[in-house]
Amino acid sequence: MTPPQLPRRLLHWLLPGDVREVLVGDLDEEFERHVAPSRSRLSARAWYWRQALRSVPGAFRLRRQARGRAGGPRGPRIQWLVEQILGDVRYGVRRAIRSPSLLATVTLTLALGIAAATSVFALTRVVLLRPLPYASSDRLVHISEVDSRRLLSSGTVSHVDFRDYRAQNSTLVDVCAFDGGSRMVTGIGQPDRVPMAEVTEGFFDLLGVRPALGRDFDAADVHPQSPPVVIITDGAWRRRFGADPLVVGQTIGLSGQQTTIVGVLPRDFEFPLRGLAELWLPLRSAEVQPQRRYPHSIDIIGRLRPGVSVAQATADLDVIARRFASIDPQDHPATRTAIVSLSDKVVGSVRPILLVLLGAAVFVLIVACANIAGLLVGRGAARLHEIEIRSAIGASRGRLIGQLLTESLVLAIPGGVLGLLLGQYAVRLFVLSIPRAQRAALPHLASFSIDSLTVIVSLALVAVSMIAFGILPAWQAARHGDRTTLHGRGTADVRRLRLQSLFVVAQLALAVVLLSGSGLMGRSVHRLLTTSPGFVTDGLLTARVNPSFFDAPAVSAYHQRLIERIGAIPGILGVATVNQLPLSGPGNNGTFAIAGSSPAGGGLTGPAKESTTAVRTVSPEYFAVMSIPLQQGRALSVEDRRGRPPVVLVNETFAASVFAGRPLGHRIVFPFLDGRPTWEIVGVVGDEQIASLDRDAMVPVVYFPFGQVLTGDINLVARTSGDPEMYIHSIRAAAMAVDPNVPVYAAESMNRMIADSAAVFRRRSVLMLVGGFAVAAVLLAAIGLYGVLAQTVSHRTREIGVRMALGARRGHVARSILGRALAPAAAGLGIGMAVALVLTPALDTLLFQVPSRDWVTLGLVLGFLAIVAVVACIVPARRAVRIDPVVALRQL
Amino acid sequence: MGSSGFLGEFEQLVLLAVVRLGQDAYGMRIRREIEHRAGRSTSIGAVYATLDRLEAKGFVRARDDSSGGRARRFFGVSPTGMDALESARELQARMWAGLRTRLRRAGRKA
Repeated sequence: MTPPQLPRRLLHWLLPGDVREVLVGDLDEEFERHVAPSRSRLSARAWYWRQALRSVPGAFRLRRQARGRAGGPRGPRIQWLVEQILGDVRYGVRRAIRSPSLLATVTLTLALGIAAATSVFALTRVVLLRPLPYASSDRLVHISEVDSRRLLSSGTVSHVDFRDYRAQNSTLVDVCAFDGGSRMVTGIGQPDRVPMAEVTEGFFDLLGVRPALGRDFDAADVHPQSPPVVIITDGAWRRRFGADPLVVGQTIGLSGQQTTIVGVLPRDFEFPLRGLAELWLPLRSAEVQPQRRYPHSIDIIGRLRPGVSVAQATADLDVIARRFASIDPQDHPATRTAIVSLSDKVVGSVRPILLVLLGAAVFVLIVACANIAGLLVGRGAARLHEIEIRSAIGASRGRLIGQLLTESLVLAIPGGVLGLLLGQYAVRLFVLSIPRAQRAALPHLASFSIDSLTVIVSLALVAVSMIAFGILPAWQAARHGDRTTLHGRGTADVRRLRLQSLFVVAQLALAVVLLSGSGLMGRSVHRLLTTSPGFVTDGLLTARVNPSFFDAPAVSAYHQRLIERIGAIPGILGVATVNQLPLSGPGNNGTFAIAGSSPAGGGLTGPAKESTTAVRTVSPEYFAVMSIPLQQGRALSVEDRRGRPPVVLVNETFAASVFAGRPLGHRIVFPFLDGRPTWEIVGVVGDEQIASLDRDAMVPVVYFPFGQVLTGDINLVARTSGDPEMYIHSIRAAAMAVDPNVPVYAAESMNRMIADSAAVFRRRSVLMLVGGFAVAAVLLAAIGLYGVLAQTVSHRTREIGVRMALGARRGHVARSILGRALAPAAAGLGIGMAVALVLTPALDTLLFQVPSRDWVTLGLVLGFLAIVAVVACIVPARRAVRIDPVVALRQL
Repeated sequence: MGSSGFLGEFEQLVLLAVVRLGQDAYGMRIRREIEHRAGRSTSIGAVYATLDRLEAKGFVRARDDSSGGRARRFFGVSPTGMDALESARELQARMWAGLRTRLRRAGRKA
């Protein structure tokens, strides 16, 4: 075993030249011959470390003695400085050990602040600051198409648009498209529905990613008549194929189609915009209607040519987009392109969240530092005597400050280390607590790790906070050393208490800010969870079924039997289907036109853009099961099937915005439906939130009856008595009985779906973290306030004794003490309120139906903190009024 | 301590260890000798610093030798060093003379 190198080098460096080799050689010899053979590796290395460190003073003595003999000047200044610092460190360690309660308090407080700051920084670093894992990722952009005349623009493009952008641009190296969904996988284990992505050829090349096994897609693969192929992710390869090296060339069934695996993606591949996708298929133009510009469903990304800016590319593509308006005025009336960097597209929405969290964490660290600074100022008083002596025998103020700062560094080390460790675990736990779909949508989280930059920043934070909490107390104490003889201790005490009060003000102010922030988030989450999405969420179970057969009679028959089977389960009060579950994203929408002449009062009342509406296909029982009220006309029935007159229901918003509230009897046409049938509006139902809970405005929706617009997407909603998730098993069994090849998946209660949704999760995570930080800040501020007041009381014991002996009433004494403490408290609350009013608008994007300057929240926060402040003052105030004048006077 | 003939306690331990080890007295051995015989844990740095001072006082003589494959510094006690050890022992003996019984009596009283 070789000796540990670090202590060996340290010792080598510190020793004077003539003994360097022999001394270190002796140490190595003992280590190798005597220590290493008889101990464990760890204990032997520890022995070496101990020897080396304990030899440091000896090394300095050797240097001094050599200098003395030479009679020459002192050695290099750096050596002398190291010696002095080491002396201070030794002294600091001894002092720290001698006051374990102070050490423990500082350690815990600082650990809390450092853990908060480093964990949030680690997260920010990974998600926001690290570039996406692609070659020259800064030149990757996401291109979306927006049309100012469309109400519901999702930014996607049509396949024809995509081909035009790709062929006609002059600013991009390449443009590729992707789409997503899921496929039923058969042929390996149980049939399973697996998330997938479809991409055009060149997609992986655009990102700079090469498959680890097999090949990339080529131009032939996207041809509709080519044999079906798939590339799988490393995760799918390991989980589903046991990392079989011969997987390339095997076939699996994908939604009934035998598909050949042609490649496996590298282990570190991730694409957060399709984060969960395990299967990557060629995006085939036939499947997305090659000749029609209307269906907008695919996303496109591109790579900027070197030297081209986003603005130049936008101008270039806008020229192409404007051409669409002349080719296709109906569906592209006013199309523009919006280009953002791919990383903005991926993390843009979480950036404000992380910045808010980072700010909150830094506040906690500041509160912790202010708290420790208060403690150290208090301790400075106890050391006044020592500092006076040091100053009297010639220590300069700089030297004293240096020594006191070194001491606070020594005090900071255990807390810093503990904080770093805690922060690491905390951030890992937090990452694990993120719902899977949300985690996959963020980069680098799948393989979360803490890198050296994070460690360096964290260490810098420890150092900065040490200086922050050490400098003022050190300066204050050193000043005492100069002046005590002139001013007497009383003045010094007053000044010290004033400084401590200042720290309390800072802590309380930050506590107000943090508490207001979490209060606003709390109210938003509460609003979000209690706001009605337009249907009753309690007792509602949702599940998905996607039959892999597409012919209408088969789907229709399957649908009918499924509804019957599930409806017969005891405890299921009603079951219905819808092609897209509510609150599951924007989903399908389409443009419509009003057919023929309309009755009086009809016609498009709103601007032309409202000719876009969300569309859903539902079974007749849908509205009854969801408890969505029918407001006008009739409900859908099983009689509304093929061969009968086409009918639709519309929601309240549609009725109000298109037909001024009187839509019954009007007919509308949807150009995207084959044969362009005319649909009669037969009823109006209440609004429901279709995309996400946090959309303020309801969107217009048209509901087609399932009997007339068959769809392969079948989502179940069931009203149950009792806990909906108790029925998951029986619903699965019922579906198995109808068709064992069509499993039910993603079954969960509507309430769970809401709780795990991005809208709720994002706010809840901010609430939990900022709330946790706020609790910590309030506790620290309360402890700080208590500490100052307790010291004030003990400092004024004599004065109070004299006053009481002279006849002062207890109430008067209590008032005077409380006044002294509550003044900084009031100042802290006031400053905090002002800062909160300035800062809380930063939360705007996260708030839901709560104004960012919410006086109710602020009032509650101030009231609560005022109570906390009074409670923190009660104990010391009681001690003051119980002072026995006789005892107090005897101290005179 | 200074450069007078008096020996500090640790200096005595080091000198005695050098005498005991004879031809084999070099840093590592001296440290181990003190640790094993006196039961006192010490660092190699402290041993060398003390040997350096003893050498400056003329109590030990140092001789570098690289025959063992690496540089070692062997120490031997000089006649002055022997005298210093001797006088330290005598000094102790004089101060201790007649105290044993008295200490024992004091111990009984307490």
